Amino acid sequence: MAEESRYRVVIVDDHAMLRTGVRHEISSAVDVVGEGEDVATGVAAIQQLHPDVVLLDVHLPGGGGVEVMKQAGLSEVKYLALSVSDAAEDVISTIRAGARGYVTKSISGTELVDAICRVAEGDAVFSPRLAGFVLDAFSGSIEVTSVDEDLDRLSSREQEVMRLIARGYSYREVARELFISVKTVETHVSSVLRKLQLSNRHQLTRWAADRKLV
Amino acid sequence: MESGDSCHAEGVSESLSVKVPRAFRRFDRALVAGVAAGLAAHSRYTVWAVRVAFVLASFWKFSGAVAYAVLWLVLPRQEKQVPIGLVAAERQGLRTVMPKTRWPQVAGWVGSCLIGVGIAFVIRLYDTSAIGQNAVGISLVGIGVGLVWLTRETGWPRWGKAVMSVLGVLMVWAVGTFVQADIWSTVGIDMDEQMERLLFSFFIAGTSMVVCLALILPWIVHPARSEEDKQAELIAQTRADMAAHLHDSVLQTLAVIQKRSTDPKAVSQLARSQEKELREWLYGEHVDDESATSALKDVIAELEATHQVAVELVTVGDHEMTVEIDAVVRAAREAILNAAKHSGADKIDVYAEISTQRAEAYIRDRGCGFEMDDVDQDRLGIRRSIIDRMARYGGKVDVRSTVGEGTEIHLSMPLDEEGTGHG
Repeated sequence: MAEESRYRVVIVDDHAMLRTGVRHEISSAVDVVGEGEDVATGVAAIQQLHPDVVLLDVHLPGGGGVEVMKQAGLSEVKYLALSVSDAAEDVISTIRAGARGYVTKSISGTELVDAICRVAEGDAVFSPRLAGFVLDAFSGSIEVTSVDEDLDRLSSREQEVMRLIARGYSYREVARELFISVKTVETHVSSVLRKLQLSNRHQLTRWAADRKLV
Repeated sequence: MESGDSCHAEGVSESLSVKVPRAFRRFDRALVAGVAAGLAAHSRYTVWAVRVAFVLASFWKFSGAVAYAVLWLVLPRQEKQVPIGLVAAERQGLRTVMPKTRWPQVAGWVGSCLIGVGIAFVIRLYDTSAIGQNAVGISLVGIGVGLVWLTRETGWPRWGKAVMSVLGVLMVWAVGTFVQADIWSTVGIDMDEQMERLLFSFFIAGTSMVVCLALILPWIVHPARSEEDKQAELIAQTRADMAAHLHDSVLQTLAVIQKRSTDPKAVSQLARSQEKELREWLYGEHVDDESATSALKDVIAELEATHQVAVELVTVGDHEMTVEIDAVVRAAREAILNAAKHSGADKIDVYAEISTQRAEAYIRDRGCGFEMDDVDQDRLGIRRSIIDRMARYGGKVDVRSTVGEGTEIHLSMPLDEEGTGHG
């Protein structure tokens, strides 16, 4: 990647040690332009710096990652959830609130950089764990807060893709397995993400009401 | 062969039957107070069958409604188990909890009330006895009492509770007044009839006392403690639990890590297993001691500790242990062990999907791979421990391996619903 087109990243996490560690791991490939340690400082950093990608902890003082995305209100900023918390409910809530992916903090540096680039380019990043949560959420076996009964179902193709990702396949391997292109895999994953995020009619109406559309 | 299998099955069912199943009221799927939902979960009938049974039983002298009321009082509420880490995170404001909308439930209540009153009107048409003629009044009183009782259920905003209690009391009071007015509506009749009316009036007074008692009965049966008391107790317990757990696990591990700080592999292994354990405790991943998922987790924890390899487990769904699932877990263990020993990969992905009909597991490594035909006959691992074991219980194994790219072993086992029903 050329020097001038490096992605600008803000890290929002309440553990200083982890922020330093992550910054150290990724700063050779992306520019870490700012940090936040809670909702207020995170929102301030995001609004001031307009980064390409925000690495966002799920649990944060002041209301969690969900609250940061709500308050920052910049639609062009992409969020990647980064967490040790594996409570399915919270991870799904964060995705539903707008994060484009979820990775665990034990992820390696190169994998994390790869995930950041993917998110920055507008794709979704589904780790095996998130794919598992999503399959669980759509089959109704974990409780997702305020989910409508008419939660859109996953198509059988999307389900297949989620299964393969949960089995540890990379996008390229999924593509080879299903005889489709990597681009098509990305399309499927993005459409799963969209279904998760817009499957709630109440949220949609609230979204519309907030913007005085209804 | 057959006798051996049934013997094994008995052993399993015995170990599973230790837990005595209890019936709870389940508020998560409740229309009124969760009695039907709780009984349905307990008896494995569908919720609607139980609800219809209650309604049908109510045609005979309200017995269904009375039974419902009694069960409402007697059955304890099923408290939602929130993992301690989430409680802590919530209290510190680290997460946002979106309140669940209750409108479908409210619609359910209104519907039930309307149906109840409707039925009462029908009874009034065909039943000429005193109870039949006063069915509407009785059902209104019932609904009023129900509304007041409902205010005991948590999860409602305070104003909602206030409105409901006022509405309930008003309803009961209105019926009482109406009946009294009805008795004394015509004046100036002979002594006998006045006497009869006086007696009936006493009867009404007695009945209203019973109703009033019913209104406060739940508070007598399950004395409500103030919210603050509960909160304080919860906080104290949480702190104590937290301290105890941190001491037993994290502190001990940290001490060991300091001792072995010269061995980086051991340190990372210790850190990894401690991280896993702590996460499990904090976020409640360890759901059931007797479930497929927890068995897999135990197996993986054991193998990770003994073979210095990272195993990433993702599970979807869960099921209580059966002999078939036990076979899958054992076969999976063997497959993971093979990958750890022979593949040379430093990470193994395990994906398990368990539904009521089927248990599936995929064990994948990006190691050296092998040719199935090249596997020596004397290497028993894959043939006997995996393929034969699965086949014995009706499952099958699919091995896909490419030299230089890695191996994926797919275990698939149909689960017989009949066979697992005894658990």
